[in-house]
Order: sequence, then structure tokens, then C-alpha cells
Amino acid sequence: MNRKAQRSQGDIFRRRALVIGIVLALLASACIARLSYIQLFSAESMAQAATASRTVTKPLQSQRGTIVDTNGVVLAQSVERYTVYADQKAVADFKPVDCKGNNQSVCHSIDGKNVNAEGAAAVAKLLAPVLGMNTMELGGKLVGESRYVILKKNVVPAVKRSIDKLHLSGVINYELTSKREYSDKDGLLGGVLGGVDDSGAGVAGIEKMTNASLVGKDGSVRYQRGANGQEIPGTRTESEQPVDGGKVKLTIDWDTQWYVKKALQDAKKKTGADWGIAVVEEVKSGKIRAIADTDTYAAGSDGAKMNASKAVTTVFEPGSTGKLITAAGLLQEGLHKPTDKFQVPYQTEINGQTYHDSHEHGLQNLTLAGILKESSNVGTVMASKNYTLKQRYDYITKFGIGQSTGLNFPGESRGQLAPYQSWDLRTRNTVLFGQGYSASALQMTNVVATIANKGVRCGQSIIESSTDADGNDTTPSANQPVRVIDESVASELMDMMESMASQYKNVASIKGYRIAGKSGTAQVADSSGALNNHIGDFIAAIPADNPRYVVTVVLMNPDGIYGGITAGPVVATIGEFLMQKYEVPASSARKNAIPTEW
Amino acid sequence: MSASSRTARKRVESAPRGMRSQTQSRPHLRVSSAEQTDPDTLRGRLKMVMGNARPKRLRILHFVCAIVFLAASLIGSLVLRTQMVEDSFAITDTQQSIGRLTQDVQERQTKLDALEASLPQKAQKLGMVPGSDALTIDLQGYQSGTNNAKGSK
Repeated sequence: MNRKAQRSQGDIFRRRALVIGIVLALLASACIARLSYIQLFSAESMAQAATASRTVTKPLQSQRGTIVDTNGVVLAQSVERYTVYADQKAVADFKPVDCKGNNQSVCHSIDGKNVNAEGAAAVAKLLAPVLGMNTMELGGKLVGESRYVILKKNVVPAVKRSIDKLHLSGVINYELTSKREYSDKDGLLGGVLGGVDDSGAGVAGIEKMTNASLVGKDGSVRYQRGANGQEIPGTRTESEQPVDGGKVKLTIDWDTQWYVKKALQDAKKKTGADWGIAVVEEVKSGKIRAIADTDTYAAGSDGAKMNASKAVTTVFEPGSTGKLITAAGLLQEGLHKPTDKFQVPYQTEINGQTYHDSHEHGLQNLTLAGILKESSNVGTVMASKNYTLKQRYDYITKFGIGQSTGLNFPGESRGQLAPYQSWDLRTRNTVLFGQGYSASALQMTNVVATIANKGVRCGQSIIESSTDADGNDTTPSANQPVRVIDESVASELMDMMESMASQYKNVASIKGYRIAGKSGTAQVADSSGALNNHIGDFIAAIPADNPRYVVTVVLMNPDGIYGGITAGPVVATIGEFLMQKYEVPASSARKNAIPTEW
Repeated sequence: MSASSRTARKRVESAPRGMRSQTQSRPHLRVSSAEQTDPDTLRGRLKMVMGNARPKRLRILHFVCAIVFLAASLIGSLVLRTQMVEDSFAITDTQQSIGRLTQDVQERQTKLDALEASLPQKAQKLGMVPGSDALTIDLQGYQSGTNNAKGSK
């Protein structure tokens, strides 16, 4: 009986143990099955998903290149700024944490006191003094459903660091951006430098012209990040360093530009002109050392971006300064010598068209030099009797009128010169004294510079050198030098120009230096089309014996009308500054002047 | 041959120790037990080939060394990894600091450039004027020690 009971107890026990063992074995095998499924079958996709969730590609911002003047003075550069934006949904859930002494790194307080508000009001109270905005206004911007609302743009790094100290991450965030800073606050070169748009691309002026050199190359780095954003060591896969944009060096001299602008603005006030333009070109190289107008758009401003530089883009009828081209053509073709004698009346008629001089006078005995000095329209027309239309056209184009200057400045115009076959009976003679075609200040400057440079027309340039982000040289090439007139013709013309300038020596002279120049006055059409406006200009090569610079000043509607007395003094002021600044030796005395009367 | 050696060994083992020292005066090689080197079993054959060459102490030492080496490499890699992560934090901090300093440098440089460009304007506001007249001395015909020096302004 005992043995039977024992056996049955043993059996029962064994049976129960077996059952429990089977149950545990089933559970264990289920675990093993699930484990093997995760580890063996879907291992790769799991691992990939995990890696992807912590992999981040961080873009590294590059800076746009700098623009400097010929001496290295920085005119434009890019600086890092931040755009502060808010997550409105997170703002609504924001609850400030009171400072207790041991939670300094996460608590919120205003002036040491607790923030007694929640949500948008609390964030506005914390943030407004740092951003410098009105609390109410800021609070209004923080209310809503959007995840991305820009609060303030172009926030400086110092302010951004103050925002960091407010411990508002998760609610307030930033984007790194770039801002273009210009040293030119007074608008000395505003229209020339132009500006950039919101994305940082150049849209006007030099910024647009050299955009390809100035853009930088953004980099990126790809790594896996830990909880607080730090890089897990050994996980950096691709990385590309950002490359800042290249450097553009202008031929402009900042000091000269400042002085020229000042002189122009004084002249505008003094003569009551509508506007003025001035250009300073270096004779031997064709480099533009200053180019100014009376507009005062600061570089990078909307005004600078929307209004192309007046100095570069305005075209006008040059007037009497065009007589230089005629005289050059006559001398070069051998049609006349500077000493040829003419008897010039006040008025003449050709082909039914009447031409007269600016001042009434009786019959004058003038040489060709005298005709130029007196700026006599009639004399010029008389001297050009055998000067064919094609020759007239050829010399005008050879001097660069109607041609590209080679600058490729956005908005620059080549001026207007109709083909000679289309010249009517009046135009064919008015082109002799600079009316009937239009040119820019740069083109007219180059006419005198050609004569001053012994008859060789240099290509003008405003960019001395430029490199791009990779360090490649992207300096634009100027027009090739071209011989337009012989050296002897050029020196005769210089002499004639000196005689011309000497009659203004009371208003336009530089002590110690001889000036060779030509004044011009032209009637131009106003907005209604009638010839109610007038332009006065003066172009001079200084010093006359060994020209270093050509200075052009153009004024629109000055009181006093004539270029010699309105623009002349400005040229002299600028010339005086240039001679002093560049330490040009004084002129020796004039000898053997070509006679102007007989 | 093997049968006799086997029985011989057996005979030696079965004799009590004390008796062994009395009956044998010459030094003897200690031999392993018959069970252990039984060529019929795998274990016996292994024992025959490799033998009980190492003493117990060396075995223990070898074992302890292996364990220590394992533990050390594990701990070492853990320490290294910890250091790497620490360094990663430090790198991030340093990079942020560099970024801040670079921004500061940029700000100051921009201010400096703006001041440099405003120099002519500021000089004029202070009342300075650019130079005007040039003074030239013409030394043509100059003879030192006499009053023949020519000067021209």
C-alpha cells in the first residue's frame, strides 16, 4: 500500500514537473524564435533604421568673397548672422522652470525673479528685451499653429548667445545665414557696387558682374549624433570643407573716389545742376581710378540695387568735345595741318542747313588750332569740306563711340551711333561737333585718354584682379590696345587742347601744372522730347606735358550753361588732388605753342 | 608485449606505498595509472600522447593569466571607448568655442574695415583738408655755394 502511494506521488510529481517543463520550454522557444527573427532575419533593416535615425548631414556655410579697392580697403564682405524663428505649438506648451539654485542651466528667470506666466506670454517676456522688440508685438507673433514663424532676421552672434542663455531651446531656434556688410555707408560707390538679394546672389553692379568669383562653395559633414547633438567618434563618413568665395580687387582708389564725390556734390550745389558725373582714368593703363555721380544710394540698399550707377550707364550727346575726334581725323588723314588758315564767320549754310557758333562774332582769322580753341561749329564744318562721311564715321568708331568699353557692367550702354549711310543732311555735319550721336562718360574719357596716350586707345578696366573660390584667376580681360592716330598727330592735338584749356585758366587751373582739355556744351532733349536741357562737360588730361590722368566732369543743366565755366573748376579741383596724391612732378614751361590766330 | 607491461604496471600500482619503497632501492619513473592511459578509450589515448607534463601550479597560473588578459582587454576597450566619447564632447565644446571666436573676429574685422573706409570723411569732419599746392624746386643750373640756385613754385 505504501509503495503504491509513493509511486503515485512520485508519478504525480514527475508529471507536474514535466508539464511545467514543457510550458517553460515553449516560452523559451518563443523567445528564441523572436530573438532569432530580430537578430538574424530583420537584423539589417533594423540596424539601418537605427543608424538612419541618428545620422545627420550638417551643412557647413561658406562665406561670399570680399570686394576691395586697389589699395586693399575692404568695400564689401559677408558676416554670419542668425534668423530667429519660433515653434508656435511648442510655445503654447511652454512652462517656465523656476530657478532654485541647483538648476541654473535650465531655469528661467527675468531679472532674478520668476516668470509668472505661461505659454506665449512667458516666452515673450523672456525674449523681448534680448531681441529688442516690443513684448506685445512679440507675443502676437508667438500665437498660432505654425511650426516655423520668423521672429527676427540678421541677428548678430552676440544677441544669439544671449538668447542661448535664456534656455529656450525647443521653443526658439535659429538658422545660420549670411549678411553682406558694406563699408560704403555714405553711398560713394553705391550704384557701382550694387547689392545682393536674400539668397546672397549678386543682383546689381559689381556684385552681379563678378558673382561667379564671389560665390563660395558650401560644405557638409555626415555623422551619427548622440542625444545632445555631439558627434559619435568614428562615425564621420563624408565631409567636405566649405570654401569661401574669391576676392575681387577693383581699380578704384577709395580716397580718390571720396574726393571726386565730394567735389561733384559741391559742384551740384554751387551750379544748381540736376546731376553730375565724374570719371578719373589713368592714361597709361586705362584703369578707372574713380567713377562717381551725385546719387547717394548706399551700397546694398534697395536704391543701389534698383538704380544702375548713373556714372556708368548715362549716355548723352557730348557736344563740343566731339570736335576732338573731327580734328584728329582731319590731321590723321592729312586733310589739314594745325596751322592752316581759315576765315570763320558766325554762321554758315550748307545744303540748306544753317549752322552757327555759340557766340556771335564777326569774321575771325583762325587757324585749325584756333577753331578748336574757340570751339567754333562753323569753323569745324568749314574745315571738313573734304572729310568724307565714311571717314567721319570711321574715326568716331575708332575712338570707341558706339563700341563696348569692355567693362561689361550691368546696364552699361554703348551709346548710339547711326551708320553713316543713314545720316541725313543735318546729322552728317552735326556729328562733326558732337551732336547726332550719344556716348557715355567713360567713352568720352577714353577719347581724350587715347590722345593723351600718344594715339593708342587702351582698354578700360574697373576690375584689377579677381579670383574665385578655388583660387582660379578670373580677372576679366580688357579690350586690346589699338592705335587710332599717329604719335605726331596726338601731340599736335595735345597742344591744341592746351590752348583750349588755357582760356579757362581763371576758373580752371592747377598751380604748377599745365592742363590740356576740351569743354563741351550740348543741348539735349528732356522728357518731353524738346531740346530744353543742356549738358556742360569738361574733359582734361593732366599734366599736359606728360599726361598721367584724364578727368571728366559732366553736369546736367548747370546755371552758367557752358561746360568750361561750370565743369571746368571741378576738373581743376579733382586734378589738384590727384597731382598731390600721386606725387606727380610739376610741369615744365610751355614751348612752341601752335598759333591759333593769324 | 603490452599485456605484460600492463600487468607489470598493475603489479606496481597495487603494492602499497610503504612496501614499494622497501622493495625498490633504485629510482623509478612514476608512471600514470592504467585507467588513465587505457588505449581503448579516447581519453586514455589522449593521455598517452600528451601526458601529464605540466604541473598543477603552472596550469593554474596559465589559466589565471588568460582570465586576467581577457578581463584587461575588455576593461581597456571600455576605458578607451569612454575616453573617446569624453573627447567627442570636448571636441564639440571646442568647436563651438572656435565658432564663437571666429564670429567675434569677423565682427571686429568688419568694424575695422568700416572705420578704415570712413577715414577720409571723418578727417574732413575734423577740419583736415587734403593738400593742395605742390612745391617743386627746379635744380637746373644750380651751383652749390653760389646764389645761382633757381627755384620755381
